[in-house]
Amino acid sequence: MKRCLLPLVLLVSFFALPAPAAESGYTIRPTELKAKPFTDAQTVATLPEGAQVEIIVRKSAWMQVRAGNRSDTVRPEGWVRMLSLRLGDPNRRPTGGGILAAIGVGARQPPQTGATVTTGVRGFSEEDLKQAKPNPAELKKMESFSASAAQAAQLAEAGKLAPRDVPYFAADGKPLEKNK
Amino acid sequence: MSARRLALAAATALAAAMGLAGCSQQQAQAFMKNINESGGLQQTLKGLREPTQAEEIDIGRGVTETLLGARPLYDDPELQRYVNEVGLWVARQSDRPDLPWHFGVNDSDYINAFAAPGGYVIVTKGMMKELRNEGELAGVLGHEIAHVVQKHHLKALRKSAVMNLLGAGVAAASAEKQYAELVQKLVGPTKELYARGLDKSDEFEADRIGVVLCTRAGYDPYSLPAVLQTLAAANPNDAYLALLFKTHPAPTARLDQLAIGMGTRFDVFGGSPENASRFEQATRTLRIASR
Repeated sequence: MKRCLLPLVLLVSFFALPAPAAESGYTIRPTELKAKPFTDAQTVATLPEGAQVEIIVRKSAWMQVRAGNRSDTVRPEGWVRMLSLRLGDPNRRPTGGGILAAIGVGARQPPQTGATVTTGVRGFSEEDLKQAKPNPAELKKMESFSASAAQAAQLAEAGKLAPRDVPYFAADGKPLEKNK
Repeated sequence: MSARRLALAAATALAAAMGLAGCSQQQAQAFMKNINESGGLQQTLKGLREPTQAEEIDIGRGVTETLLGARPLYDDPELQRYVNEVGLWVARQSDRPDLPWHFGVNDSDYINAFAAPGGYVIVTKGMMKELRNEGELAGVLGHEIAHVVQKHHLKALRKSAVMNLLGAGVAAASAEKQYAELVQKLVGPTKELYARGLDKSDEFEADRIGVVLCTRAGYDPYSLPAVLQTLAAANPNDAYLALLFKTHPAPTARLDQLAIGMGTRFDVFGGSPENASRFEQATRTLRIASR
């Protein structure tokens, strides 16, 4: 019995860790909040464009969300299509000219490059690309890690990945026999 | 495409390029007439045959040598092998399953991914750290695999090679010489192309094909959209994203395109494996390594 205790303690302490901050997002168009993650499920509420949501669960095309923010008393829950959402704070939209984004608040600055400081620089900036010299030895190294078709199939099987027959599609969504 | 149509396309492109350089239309026409009469254009167009697969791979190796010159591989053989297995599994679902596919994670904190002709794909360490699970990795790799299958970079490099030959008035560009020369002189065009990026339409197409390949491989179709959603939330002035944002359409535009193209037809594949724990295990050294 005692032997079982240590893993149990570890398990408990794992779950006792503070949960990571919930992801938040906002609607980019008027969006129906559904009771279930299906198009024909009952509509709980209709959210206007720019409505703030807290993301509870991600599930493929759908996200389970809680509408509004902490100061709201009524916060309907339901499912919205993930492509109707953008992540982040609606007041700090990265595109569309949010003032904070425009002045670069929160932007990471580039590591110093060039002749002065080179240690610790792990870049792939346009400048790094311009200064690049071919590295044939590194190419050989990259080629040495290649997988065989059998290894790839084994990875798929272990990961319960079953190949599926899915047609390509055009920009308007029409199925394509072949890409040009 | 017939040689005649190619000739017309090349001439139009050259005329357009000259127009941008400030030449008058008359000057451009005179220039083209000169090339035609000297046989330079015809000679060059003879050299416009499709490169063989071996030539394509040679070109890809040259491009990859330069990309790895900008930043070497990340030192974790186990991770490199894992990414090769996931990548090959996705590539096996494409129209070019038998190319000798090679995948690599480079040691860069910048968030980006690159494809080179012939089956070479590099993902940055910075991009790997943005991903939540194996499905999202498959989505990113699917997009890059699509560039290779559709020969997007190859076509762009070939165009610049032909334009260079035309521009220099090279009369004796034999078919055999063209690709050999291109491989030798690849460093400049590679840097130029990978700093400029492909056409937007190529990127949107790679997104659509990437979604399909990822789904065919058994992963969630919304894996690539999930990555784009992460990128869309990033600060547009983030230096680590500067090159990706410069060379691709805005992530929000890419998401809007996928919303139209995917519709609700991919909803049936909900509940696909994410293999998140296997992904976390394979990428654990990335989270220990300091920025």
